[in-house]
Amino acid sequence: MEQTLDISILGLIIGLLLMAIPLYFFRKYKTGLVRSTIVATLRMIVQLVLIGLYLKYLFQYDLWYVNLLWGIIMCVVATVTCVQRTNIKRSILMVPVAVGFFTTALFISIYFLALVLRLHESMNINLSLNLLFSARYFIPIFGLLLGNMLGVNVLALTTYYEGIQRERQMYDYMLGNGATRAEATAPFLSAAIHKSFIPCIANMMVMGIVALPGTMIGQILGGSDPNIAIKYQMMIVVITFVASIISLMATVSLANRRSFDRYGRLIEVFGK
Amino acid sequence: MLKISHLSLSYGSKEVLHDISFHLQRGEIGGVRGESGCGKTSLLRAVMGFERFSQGTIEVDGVSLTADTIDSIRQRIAYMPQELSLPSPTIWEMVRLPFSFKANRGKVLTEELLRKEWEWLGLGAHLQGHSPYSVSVGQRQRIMLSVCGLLGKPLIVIDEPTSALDEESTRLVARYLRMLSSERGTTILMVTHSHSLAETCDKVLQL
Repeated sequence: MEQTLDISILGLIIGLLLMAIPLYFFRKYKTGLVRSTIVATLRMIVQLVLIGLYLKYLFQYDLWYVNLLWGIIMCVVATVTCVQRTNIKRSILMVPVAVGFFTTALFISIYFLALVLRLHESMNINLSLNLLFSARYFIPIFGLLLGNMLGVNVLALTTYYEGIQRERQMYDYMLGNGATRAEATAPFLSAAIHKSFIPCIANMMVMGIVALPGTMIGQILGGSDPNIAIKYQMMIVVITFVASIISLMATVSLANRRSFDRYGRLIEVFGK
Repeated sequence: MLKISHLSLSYGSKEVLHDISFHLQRGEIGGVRGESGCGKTSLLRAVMGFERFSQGTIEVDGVSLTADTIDSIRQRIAYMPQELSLPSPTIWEMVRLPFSFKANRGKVLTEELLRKEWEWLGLGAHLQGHSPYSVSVGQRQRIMLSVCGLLGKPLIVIDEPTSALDEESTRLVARYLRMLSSERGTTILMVTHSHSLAETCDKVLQL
């Protein structure tokens, strides 16, 4: 395998200069996005540098419980971000999203590392906590899953609750004609799943032809064999897709217990 | 069949219903009338368990309405809100929706039964394949009313079934409701502004 080609500081600066182009258009058309784009870019740089430093130590010591703790921190940040973006009350969504994200990401990560990647067989050692939660494998996979679950959950949860609120007459009609709460919310959940998964499915449709995915490109640029990169990419798409629906189902089923009263009426869900 | 006793209902500090009592026996038609904003729809929604009342009791078929009994009470009711449109591809799908619920699995719905019901209401069988958005509001109201009839529940709760109907169609609706009450023993509680429909009622609650 070839050595990963490093990017110099000068190269990074030249790369970042490209951001001047979107900033130019954002300003020209008075989109109001200039300031937030600059802040987001600076935050990204600072955060990645700090995480890079942190990961260096995390990889160096590589203790399973520290790595798992890091996973929990990532999960907390993803949960807070998800709740903020949906604009749904923290008291309703915080715990369901946290539980949904953490259990799903943990289950899928372990499934992938132990059964798909078969780390223990590749390394010819026994399966252990140290291996399953090793920094090199566990943290990138866990983070990747959280990132994808975040996008899908934000879109789906917003669509779901907005739908019930907007179509209250339809929801009441179903409840009033004998539907269980699960039956009355099913059309809204269906619409939410449809809306949030359409982009994922469309992306899968054109993968490799129109869209060359980041994980694969990263691996190839990093010196991996393209055949290996393709296999990784395939599995990454599958596990992120599966994790997104499992986490959504877990989140909605837990959130439903907090967002409806004992008469089946949707309580005020939007707000702080 | 329906017993509303000393019911009061408030939205914040504004009391919209105060000490309302109204009873309907099996097979009776009860009308609720009054000016806009007087609480007619709120009363119906309270019977459905959609609004919380501050005082009083509601009993359906001898069962007092509480959070523990609301599911079984709703299974005894067919409900039609005002000017409802469902996002179904065809009217047949729209009609079929409540029959897909577990609570209504025993209820039979066939095109023939629907056609017979629609004859009462002056609707043509050809409408079944149409989109719900391609028919008039008045036609949709009558279609939804036929669903209430077909569900065969002991109590029907309807909000303004004739708000978009002309005199002739209102007369057909009145005749249909009378048939449901006299031949099938259905109890009906409805909000109405229509004089001719109010004349069909056995009892009228003026708010």
